[in-house]
Amino acid sequence: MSKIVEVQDLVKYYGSGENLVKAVDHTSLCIESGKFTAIVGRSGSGKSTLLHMIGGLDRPDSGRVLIDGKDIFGLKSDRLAQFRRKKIGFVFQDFNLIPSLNVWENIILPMGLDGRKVPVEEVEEKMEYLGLLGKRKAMPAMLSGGQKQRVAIARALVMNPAIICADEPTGNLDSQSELEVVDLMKKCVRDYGQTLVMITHDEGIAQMADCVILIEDGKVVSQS
Amino acid sequence: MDRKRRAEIIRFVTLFLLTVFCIAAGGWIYVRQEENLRWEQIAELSGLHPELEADLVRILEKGGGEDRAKADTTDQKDEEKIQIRKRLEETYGYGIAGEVFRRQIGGLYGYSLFVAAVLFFLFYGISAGKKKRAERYVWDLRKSGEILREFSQGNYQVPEAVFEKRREEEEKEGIKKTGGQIEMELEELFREHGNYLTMLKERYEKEEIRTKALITDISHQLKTPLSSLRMSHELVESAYLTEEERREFLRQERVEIEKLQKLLDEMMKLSRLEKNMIHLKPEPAGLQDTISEAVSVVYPKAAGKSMEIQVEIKEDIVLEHDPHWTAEAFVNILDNAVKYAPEHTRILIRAEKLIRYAMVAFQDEGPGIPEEERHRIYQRFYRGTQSEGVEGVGIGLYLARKILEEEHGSIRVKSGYPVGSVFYVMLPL
Repeated sequence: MSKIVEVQDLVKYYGSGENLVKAVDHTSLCIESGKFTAIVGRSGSGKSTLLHMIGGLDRPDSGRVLIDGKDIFGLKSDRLAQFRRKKIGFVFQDFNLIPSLNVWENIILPMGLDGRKVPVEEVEEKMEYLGLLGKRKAMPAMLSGGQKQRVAIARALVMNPAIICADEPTGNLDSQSELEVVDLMKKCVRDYGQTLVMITHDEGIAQMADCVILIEDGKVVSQS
Repeated sequence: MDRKRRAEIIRFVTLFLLTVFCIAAGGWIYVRQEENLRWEQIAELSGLHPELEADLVRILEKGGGEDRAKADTTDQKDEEKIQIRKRLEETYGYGIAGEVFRRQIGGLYGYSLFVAAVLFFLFYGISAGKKKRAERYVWDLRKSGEILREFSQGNYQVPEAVFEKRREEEEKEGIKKTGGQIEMELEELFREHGNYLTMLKERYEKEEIRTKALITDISHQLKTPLSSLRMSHELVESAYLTEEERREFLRQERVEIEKLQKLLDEMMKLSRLEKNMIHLKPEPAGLQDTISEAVSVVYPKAAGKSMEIQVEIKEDIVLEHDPHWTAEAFVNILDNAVKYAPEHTRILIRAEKLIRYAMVAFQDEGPGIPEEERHRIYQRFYRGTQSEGVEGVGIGLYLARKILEEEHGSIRVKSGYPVGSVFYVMLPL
C-alpha cells in the first residue's frame, strides 16, 4: 500500500541536563494510506509527542514528517495550519468539546474557522452515521463519555480529512463505549477511505489495527 | 533561451520601426497637404492678379505666415499693416480656411498618432502576454510528459512542487501569477495518480509474496498427515502384523484421512470466501437464532467434555446479517473454547445492543492467550504455543475475522491469561 505519512529520523527532546527527556529519539516509520495503524507503548514512551508531530501540532527538534510526500515542517506556520485543517482530523482523549456550544455548533466549528460553507446534509449524514442525530441541540455537559467522543469524531469527520489522528480516544470511556467508538472509527477508515492513526495502550484495540507500531523510550521497537 | 531573447528583441524593434514609419509618413502627408494648399492659394490669386504672380510666389512660397510677417515687418514696421493683411486674408477666407484646415488635419493626425500608439502597445503587450502564457503551457506539457515518462519507467514519485517552483521563478522575473490553479490541480492529479500506481504495484508484490507463503503453508499442512498416513499404510502392507495391530493402524489411517478431509473443507471455505465466491446474504434476522445455530454445532463436543454453554440475551436483537455465515464465525470461536478449555468448565455467551453495534461476548475458562500472541491468532495457519496436541490447522479465527469484517463487524479478544479469554464480536446495527 502507498505511504501517506513518512517519518524520517524525528527527534524531540524536552528539558536539559539531568532532566533531559528524549520523548522522540531518532524515530523513523511509515503509515500506509487507507489503513488503521495503532501506535502502542507504555505511558511516557513518547507516543503522544510522536502523534502530535505527525499531525503537525508540535514542531520537532530535527527530522522530517512527509505527508503525501510533502515536508510539513517546511511550510510556513500559516500554511501548515491551513494544510493541517484540510488534511488532518484530531480526536483526543478528553474530547476537547466547547462546553458553551451545543452538539451541532461543536461539529461545524472547524468549518467556521476555515470560512467554509456548512454542507448541512453531509454533516447530518455523518451525525446519523455516529448515532447523534437526536442530540443536535444537546449541550456537551448533558452527554455521556461515549456520546461526547462521538461528537468529537463527527467534528473530525466533517472536514473530510485524509488522516485522523486519535490520541487514546477511549481512555476516558467505559468498556462498552470503548468497543463501539473504536469500531466506529475503524468503519470510517473503511467507508470514507481515510487513514486512522491511533495511540492506545489497550491490547484489544491494537488487535483490530491493520498495523501495530510499538514504541519504547521514544524509539520504534517493532512495526507489523 | 538566448535565441528566444533575440527573437523577442527583433520583434520589438520591427514593431517599433513600423510605428516610427507610420508616424513619419503621417507627418509627411501633413506637410505635403499644407504645401498643396499654399500652391492653390498662389494659383488662385495669380489667376485674379496675373501681374502680381512673382510677388505672390515670393510671399507665399516658403515659410507661410511667419515669412510673410517677417517680410512685412521689414518693409513696413507697422502693426496696423499686419492687422489689415490679416483682416484681408480673413475676408477672402484664406486665413480661416488655412486655420481650419490646419486644425482639422492636426487633430486628425494627433488622433491617429494616439491610436497608433495604443495599438502598438496593445498589440505588443497582448502578444507578449500570450507568448508568456503559451510558453508556460508548453512548459507544463513538457513537464507532464516527463512525469508520465517516469511513470512508464516505474517511478511513481512526483517530485515536490514541480509546477510551483516554476511559478516562483516566474514571480521572481516579475511575471504576474495567473492561471496557477490549473498547475496546482495538475500536480495534485499527478501525485494522486502516482500514489495509486504505487499502491497497485505494492499490492501486486504483496500478493505475490502471500501466494508463495500460502503454497508453502498448504504443503506444510498436508505433509504431516500425509507422511503419517503413508507410514501406517506401509506398515499395514507389510505382512508381519497381528490382526489387532493391523486394525489399530487402519484406525490411525482413518483419523489422518479425516484430518485431511477437514483441512481441505476449511481451505475450500477459505478460498471461496477469499475469491468472493461466497456472497454473504445479509437479511434482518434475530441474533438469538444465529447464536443458537452455532451452539447446536459445538454442543455435542462440549457435552463430551461435560462443559456447560450458557447464553444470556435480555431481548433478541434484530440486525442485518447473514445468519448462516455469522453462525459459522461463532462456531469457530466456540470450537476453540471447547477444544482448549478443561472439562467441567463453562462457556458464557452474552449479547447486548449498543448504540450503533450489537456486541456478542464469548467468555471461556480456558488457558487464555499470552499477550504477545493475541494479535497473531487471526493470521492464517497461526497456531498458538499452547496448541500442541490439540487438533486444528489454524484457520478458524482467520475465517471468523474474515466473515465478520465482510459484515463490517469486528472481533477482538481480551484475555485474562492464564485463565479465561473473552472474544468480543461487534456487528453494526
